[in-house]
Amino acid sequence: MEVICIQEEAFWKMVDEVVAYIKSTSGQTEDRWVDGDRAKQLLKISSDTTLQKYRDEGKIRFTQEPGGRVILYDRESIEKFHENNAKEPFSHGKK
Amino acid sequence: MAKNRFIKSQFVNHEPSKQYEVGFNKGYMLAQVLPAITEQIMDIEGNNPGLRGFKDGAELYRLEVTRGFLLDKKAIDAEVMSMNFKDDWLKSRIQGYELAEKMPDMVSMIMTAEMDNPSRNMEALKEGITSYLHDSMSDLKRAWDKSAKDSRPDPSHDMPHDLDKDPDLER
Repeated sequence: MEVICIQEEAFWKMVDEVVAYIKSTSGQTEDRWVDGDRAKQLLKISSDTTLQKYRDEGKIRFTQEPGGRVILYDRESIEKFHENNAKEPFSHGKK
Repeated sequence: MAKNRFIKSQFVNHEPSKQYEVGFNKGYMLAQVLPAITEQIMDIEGNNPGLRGFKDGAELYRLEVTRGFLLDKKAIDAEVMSMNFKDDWLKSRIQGYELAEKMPDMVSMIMTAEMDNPSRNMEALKEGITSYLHDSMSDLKRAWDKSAKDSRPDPSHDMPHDLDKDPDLER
């Protein structure tokens, strides 16, 4: 097997291009995994404590880097969380 | 003082490494559509946050697929079919599952075949077969347990109705 050496920067640039192409073909515009700040924005909360509470209660899905420094949140689970908490409007005309 | 520091550390907003997050998302996405290439990238040695994130993201997707495959094979099958990209590894695994289901005679032949350098697809095929066998065994065990439970005689019927008329006892 032949081995091609390229610079790390060039390699990751190539990966970026591939990812961008995949995103454009699949229609996906946003990343699936978001950091704590973005998760709070999506959840419309400002408190880290609430975010941790949601995490501990299993209301949102997350993944933690081995070693525990970085925590990423599953955007889909946040959207599902909103859906589960949505209340249907009262139907006034119904008898 | 120490207690306060502990509490603070629990709630402090750990600024996540952006590089790790970006790498994680790349790995997660690439693993979905280009698993073979992703696997090769995962072999790269290094400890920068981007690469670490990439590996973790790809690994997470792989785990999700494996779990999903065992839980609901048909849903995954449909998902793969709807994808424009070819996922050879997953396809081979599904083929293995279907092969074991439709042609059980082939199972032992494939599973016992000795190869010096089995291809990745061949390994996936075998994994699919193993997965089917595992599912079948579980179904069989459930059916066996149910039939054993259903056929268990009612203890009240075992009691002789009239011991005096038992011929063995009369003798």
